[in-house]
Amino acid sequence: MSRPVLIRLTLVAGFLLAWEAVRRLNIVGPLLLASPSEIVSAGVASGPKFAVAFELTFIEIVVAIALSVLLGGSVGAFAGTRPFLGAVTGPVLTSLFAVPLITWYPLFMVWFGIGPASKIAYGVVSAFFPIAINTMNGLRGVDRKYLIYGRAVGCSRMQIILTILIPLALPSIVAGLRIGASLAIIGVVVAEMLASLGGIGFIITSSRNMYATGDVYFGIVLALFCALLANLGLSLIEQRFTRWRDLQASVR
Amino acid sequence: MPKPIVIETRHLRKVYAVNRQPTVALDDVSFEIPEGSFVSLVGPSGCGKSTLLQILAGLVSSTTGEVLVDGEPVTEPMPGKITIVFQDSTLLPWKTVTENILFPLEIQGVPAAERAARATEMLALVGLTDFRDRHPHELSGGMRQRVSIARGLAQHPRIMLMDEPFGALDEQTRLKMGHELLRIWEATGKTIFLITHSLTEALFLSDVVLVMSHRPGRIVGVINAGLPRPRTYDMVGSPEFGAARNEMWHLISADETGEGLAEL
Amino acid sequence: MMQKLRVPLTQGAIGIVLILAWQGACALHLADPSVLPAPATVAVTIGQLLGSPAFLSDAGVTLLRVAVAFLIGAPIALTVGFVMGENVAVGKSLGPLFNLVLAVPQSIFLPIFVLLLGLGFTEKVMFGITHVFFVVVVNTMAAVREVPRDYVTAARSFGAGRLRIYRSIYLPAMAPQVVTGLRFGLIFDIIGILLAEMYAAESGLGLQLARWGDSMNVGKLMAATILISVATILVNEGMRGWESRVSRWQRSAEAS
Repeated sequence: MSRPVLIRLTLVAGFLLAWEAVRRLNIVGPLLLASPSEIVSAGVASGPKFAVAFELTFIEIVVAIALSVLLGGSVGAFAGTRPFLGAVTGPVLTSLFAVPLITWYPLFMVWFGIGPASKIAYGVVSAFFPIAINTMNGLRGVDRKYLIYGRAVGCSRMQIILTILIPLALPSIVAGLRIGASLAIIGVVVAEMLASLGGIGFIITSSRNMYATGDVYFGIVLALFCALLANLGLSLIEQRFTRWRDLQASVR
Repeated sequence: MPKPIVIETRHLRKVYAVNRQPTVALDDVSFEIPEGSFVSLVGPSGCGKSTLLQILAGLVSSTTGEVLVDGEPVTEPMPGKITIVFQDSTLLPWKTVTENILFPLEIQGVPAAERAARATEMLALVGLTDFRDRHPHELSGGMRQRVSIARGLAQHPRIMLMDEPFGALDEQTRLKMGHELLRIWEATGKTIFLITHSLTEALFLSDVVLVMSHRPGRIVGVINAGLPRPRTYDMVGSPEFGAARNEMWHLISADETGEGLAEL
Repeated sequence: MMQKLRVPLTQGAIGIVLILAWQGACALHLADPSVLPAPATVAVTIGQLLGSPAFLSDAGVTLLRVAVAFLIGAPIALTVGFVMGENVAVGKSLGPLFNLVLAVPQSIFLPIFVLLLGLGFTEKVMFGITHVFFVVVVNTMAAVREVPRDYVTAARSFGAGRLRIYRSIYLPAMAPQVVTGLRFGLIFDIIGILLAEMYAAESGLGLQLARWGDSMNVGKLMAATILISVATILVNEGMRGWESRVSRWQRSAEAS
């Protein structure tokens, strides 16, 4: 095990121990903070409640990601393969990316109600931008020499797109998906926290109102865990597709 | 018995409109390349060599004049008939060496067994059989170019076009690759048309060297290398070689500016 | 000249067409005005809000929180990022932890801040500071890597002192990446503060948005949302302009 990894593990372990100690020694009261052990026991005790909530949140997240991939991928694909369209849409996308999308959530609730639809809408909008932008940049960034080569050996337009363009753009596209997935997951939960009828975020907020602090922390840890899992999974996929690119760059 | 003509160009002219100003890239280029010959084209930077190659490959159309391959006009790429080796090997980086050689064959509809056979054969020809499962980033520049050559030959083309194939390599590799290329050429009997900056390289490799002027590109001379084969690098020091190279040099420097000429 | 204007003109034209279509849909009663007010109405409401002392007071509160969080968080983050960038061992050990934090949107931690720090100014500002902190540290670390070591070696051989080297070599080399980090920090800060206000607050724009949402006051909601969105876009573009200016030397160096 290398030294930096050891240092990080020590820091994280130290942090967890200090966290646990702060509660055991009652430096911070149980209504404000839940220690790691308290979080675990809350999770066990409220397991069924969270399981039901998780089902709803999970569906909202999956639908949101699917729709944003469809929308974001299409927009990114068009903008990435048609130069003029890209020149027009690109700057608009990157400018809009800066907008605090959470401020649109009250409008979404007026338009789509307090149920899952508004959460899905918010998740879609959150994930849309990184997916569209990265897809567009990934496609645009492909060195033309590969496309010319495709033409020279007799590829049809569709063959160039499927067998040359997309593999070359894939690292960027997967990166966009990774960022988008994180935003969608946390976005949906935060939206539920603000106003909803169910889901992990709903439990977090209602638990806070009832001072069931353990549940609040557990809910957050759960959401965090999902986001990190998605991030890790997509990160591994991204690395698999990027291996040749990183090594190619370092050879140069 | 004269060999059939594989490529013939007639009065090729290419005019680009850059910012509404017409730029003549090529002006009245005509030549013939007989089957099985090794022909090079030398010329200064920007003289239109690459444009000419793209026209020959069918990637770009000429403004006037025509290109005929086996008597047929070239208006678009002829996969499998004309192959190109680029200065940058342009190997698909996520595919292995073998997959790279197979790729154009798949596109061109060559049956699976035949594809595999050709790939094995060409890999052996360029001496890279042991590297068949490696990826391009694991290979040196010279090796990548050899894969590119194998890829081109596997398509059994009528002619192989090479655009400064060794331009990105260091001098020693360049010399070795030149020998390699001649060995491969003699083994396969392919018609090769190679573009280069270097007078020495052109003369060393070819039967005939076309000398191109600076822009607008015209053929200002045709030099017969006149050297026996197989060629060895010590021929470069011979008086015949020197005379031929001087002739090329004079053709180029008699031309107005003759800038950007590289010497090996 | 026309060639250069093609893109902005197209963007403008599309924008105008969309607004006209929106107006048209409302005029033809295709949309319920209590759900989708017409652009003309929204524009009027925006004007009213900008003249309303209550709205401006809320905006001021939000801006204050954003500013304080940024002015505290940024300098600390710049220092930490610089130290971590210069000290390779520290950077290698701690860097991945910072990247891990950035992998997940920090919005999820809001309830913890409310539990520990309450609903007031401190809680909001602390939340904002964390949003600024991590992204600025990571970008500053990356900026240190942009410093061309050859230049530093050369300068030392001329006898240049530490401060001189920092000013003439580090600063211009790091500037683009640092400004990028600051830009993200500011945007995340704004997002964080507004979210915190929407979740639990007694004042601020976020709270107003939540209130208008609850009372289904679509007119004010839409006007305020658009206003905030436009303001944030302007802030972002402004920072991007700054980024552009400090990286000009880089672009010409790359081009040559």
